[in-house]
Amino acid sequence: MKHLNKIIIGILGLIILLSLVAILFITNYKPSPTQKAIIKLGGEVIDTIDLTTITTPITFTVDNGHGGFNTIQAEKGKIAIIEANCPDQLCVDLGYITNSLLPTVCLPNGLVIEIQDHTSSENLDIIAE
Amino acid sequence: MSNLQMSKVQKLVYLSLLCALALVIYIIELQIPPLAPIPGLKLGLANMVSLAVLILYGPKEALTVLILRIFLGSFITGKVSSLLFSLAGGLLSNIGMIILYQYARKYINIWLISIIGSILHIIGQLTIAVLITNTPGIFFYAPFLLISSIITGYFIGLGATFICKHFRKLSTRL
Repeated sequence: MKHLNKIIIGILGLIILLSLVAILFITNYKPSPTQKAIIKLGGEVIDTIDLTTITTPITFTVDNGHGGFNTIQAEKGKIAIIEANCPDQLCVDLGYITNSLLPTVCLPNGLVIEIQDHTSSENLDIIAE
Repeated sequence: MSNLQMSKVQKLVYLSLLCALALVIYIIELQIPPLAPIPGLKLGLANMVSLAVLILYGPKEALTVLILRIFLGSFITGKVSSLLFSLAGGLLSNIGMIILYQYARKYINIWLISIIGSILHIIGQLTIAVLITNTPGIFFYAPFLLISSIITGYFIGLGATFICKHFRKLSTRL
């Protein structure tokens, strides 16, 4: 028990190291060429967009039914929330997402957009069934 | 570091004072623009008061002040949507800090307790976010949040010791 301080500092150091490695991995992750965006509202999928076949950018607005609005812009290989009426505007600041690791979220409005690789999503569907 | 000795009314007044302090810190913190575009990234300054109350008074009082602060804070600012996140993170972090402080305070520094509290706060909030949005991918934000919570947790621990120091002075003068 006397060495608890040192043990905890060691564990914290390990957490920092692992986090840095994970950040390196996440920021250098190469997106797969075929992907689709999945738009979820309150945990339920409301729309999917194939990001590989888009030629001109699509812009549309999602209404969450409780006074929350988000404008989403989808382009070839990337998607972003470009406008929102939430107080923190974090989802707008997050910008475009291009790979299946980090989703873009607007927690006040309950909106999540994530990208899935075509092949892996089909596997997921089979598992879900 | 023993608990303060005071009458029931005195204690009530001081706890309300600390609760008001926590509320003001919480509301001021909301005005600070996000430091980086990462969901859930916050300084968590109000946690300073929770830790200070735990050191000055004890676990029961700390939980009372925390729950009052969360409910009043979200009703005053109108951010009821964040209530669930605050509750999950706040309760998990406070219970963790209480257990550490009650059973291991002789062996562990206050700022380390604070860092562990911050980490637990992040874990609680991320879990709720994943459950609500049904998107496990949100956990990929964890490494960014873990590093930030270790940094902020350290300074919040320092802040809490300052609050304790000055609060003891204040209460002996009366």
